[in-house]
Amino acid sequence: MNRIQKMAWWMAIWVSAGVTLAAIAVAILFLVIGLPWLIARSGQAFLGIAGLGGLASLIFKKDKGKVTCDERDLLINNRAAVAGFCAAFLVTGLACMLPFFILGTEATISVAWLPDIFMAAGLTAFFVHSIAILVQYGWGGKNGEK
Amino acid sequence: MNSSQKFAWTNLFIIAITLTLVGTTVTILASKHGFPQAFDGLCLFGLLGFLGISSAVFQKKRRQGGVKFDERDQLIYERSLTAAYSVFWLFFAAVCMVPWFVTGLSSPIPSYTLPIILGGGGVLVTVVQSVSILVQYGWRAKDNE
Repeated sequence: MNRIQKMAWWMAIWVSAGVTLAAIAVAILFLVIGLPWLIARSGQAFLGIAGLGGLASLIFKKDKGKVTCDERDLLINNRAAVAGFCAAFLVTGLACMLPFFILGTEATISVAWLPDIFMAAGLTAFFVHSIAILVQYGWGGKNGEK
Repeated sequence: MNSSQKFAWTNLFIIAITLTLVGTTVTILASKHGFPQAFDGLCLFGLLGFLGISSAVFQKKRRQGGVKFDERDQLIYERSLTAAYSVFWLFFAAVCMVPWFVTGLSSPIPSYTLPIILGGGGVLVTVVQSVSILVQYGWRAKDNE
């Protein structure tokens, strides 16, 4: 498994953990404990765990040697970045258009919806980027060995 | 002028025409009927749909082999996309976070704000991509035929 694959795994794991824990926390606070929605949303703080994914480049040091990545690696990374952006744009499109169509033109929504959309788009971009890298290399060490 | 430059110029032309028409129409309607009736002029944003046609035309020519598209063109296209998406993220972060910081946690906003953000982001991506293509090739036909 090469450095890029390890970084992709690291990012995918922390983003998944953050989103899962945040969803569970919000569900418990809102459904089980019965707190108001605005207070139950504080469970979203667990999304901060996804930020640990950003430490990947510090934890996995660059491979020794003059050539650390070739054209194939760059191509895979570019494709993964495009896939991540497309997925994020899809999420943004749905999050922007669904409330408009469901609630109608006269309705109002909380301004807190905007940072939620931004966060969802960002997490989607990072997660899909990581998954796209793993898919292109193969999930394990097969063709991605260095 | 090569096909990428024509594509970029076409996009910029369509966006410029649309914004001009929308601005003029809304101004005229506002002076005659006031707001919110003047917002009816925003339906002219539908003209941006022609962006899809320009993209389809130039991609069809490329697929049919009528247009040469080599590694340099591919690189320029990818760089322009990267520039466009980078600017989009800055724009998106600003429009999502600034109102939240300014107005507070639970202030209401009209639901039509969201499609406006999305549309504005889409137009911005197209403008930045087109300008980036023209900057890399040069604005006119030189050595890029």
